[in-house]
Amino acid sequence: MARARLLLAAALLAASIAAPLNAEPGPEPDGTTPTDPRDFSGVWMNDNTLDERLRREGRTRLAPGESPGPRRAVPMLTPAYEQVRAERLAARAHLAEGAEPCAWPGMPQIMTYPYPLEILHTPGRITLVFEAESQVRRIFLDRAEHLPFDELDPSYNGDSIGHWDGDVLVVDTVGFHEHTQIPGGYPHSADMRIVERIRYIDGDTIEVAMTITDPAAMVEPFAQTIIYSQRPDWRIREYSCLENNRDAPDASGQRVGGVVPQ
Amino acid sequence: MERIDVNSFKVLIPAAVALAAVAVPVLAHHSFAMFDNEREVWLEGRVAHFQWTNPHTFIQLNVPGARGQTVEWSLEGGSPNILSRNNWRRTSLMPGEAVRILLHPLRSGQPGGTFLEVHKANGTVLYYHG
Repeated sequence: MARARLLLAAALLAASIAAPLNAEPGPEPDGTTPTDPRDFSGVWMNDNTLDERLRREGRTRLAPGESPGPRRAVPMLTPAYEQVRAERLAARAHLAEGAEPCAWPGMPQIMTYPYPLEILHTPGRITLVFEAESQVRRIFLDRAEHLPFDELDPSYNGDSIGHWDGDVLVVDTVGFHEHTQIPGGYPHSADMRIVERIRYIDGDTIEVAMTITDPAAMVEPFAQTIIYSQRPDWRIREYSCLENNRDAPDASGQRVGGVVPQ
Repeated sequence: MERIDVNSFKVLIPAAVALAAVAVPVLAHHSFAMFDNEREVWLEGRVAHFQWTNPHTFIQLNVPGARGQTVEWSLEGGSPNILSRNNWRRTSLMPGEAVRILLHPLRSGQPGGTFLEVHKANGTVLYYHG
């Protein structure tokens, strides 16, 4: 035990030395202001991931049995979509624990994935390039209306139009199919509408206040706020779940790559 | 913390199966509920192969048993994207390298787990979570 305690102390010390300075945003907002409150250019990371939280706390792992975090808020479904949720859960029942196929996260899940995104400003458009699955969201500022129905093909990330309300970028997104879910395995309908209000809350932190409205699937609008910190020294890497997914289920629901060597 | 005897780990692990973890969606890919996050164990062995691939990395570790046999363990970790931001590189572990690894074992008792810390022979320590 003495050795274990020594190792733990050494680990904690090493962690406190290794923690990068820019990963400690501290209390936010911190009173600083952005150079241009309408310029979100750069690489941003969701503050509320396990790694970001542990880094802020100067830790390298959770304590044994410690929960990775509070349960996230989830939408209240209508009875019809409670049934959809139950059917989807039943369809997964044959999967071995840990078996998981790969799928694009889509909206809104892509916004809370534990990977960074890069925001690009070009004339008439703001583009979000996500590390996860190399996904892209294009927010059209040069178009006040959504695509007409015959062009609004149902998609993972929908059709996004945006405008400025003061220094708040307001993004309205519709045009989804039902392949994606609200994090936690909650379904939505194809008529889901997502409104995001994106703004700086200090010099290097932005907030996305998101409201999801979907009367067919949810008894009331579902709101969540996501905080992202700027990461000027990060680059967007590639992440494809299909690269080496040992966890993909085979026909019998077992992990195709095996839990352990075959 | 405890040290796993590879000849008896199938006996040791089932006692912890009842301690089910609450799955919280902090990961992009699969749930880590199959790992026993109540238990931290150390393994010593040599790296057979380091899979620096998405969606998860794997350290294939050859662990000598008390009766002379070798057991190959699969130790799963975060994506290269996450680990690279925690100071890992594709070259961090080389085949044949001796390492000590702190991990949460599989609840099933099979020779697998999720690594937390990797201690190299030269004293370097690599952490899953930064």
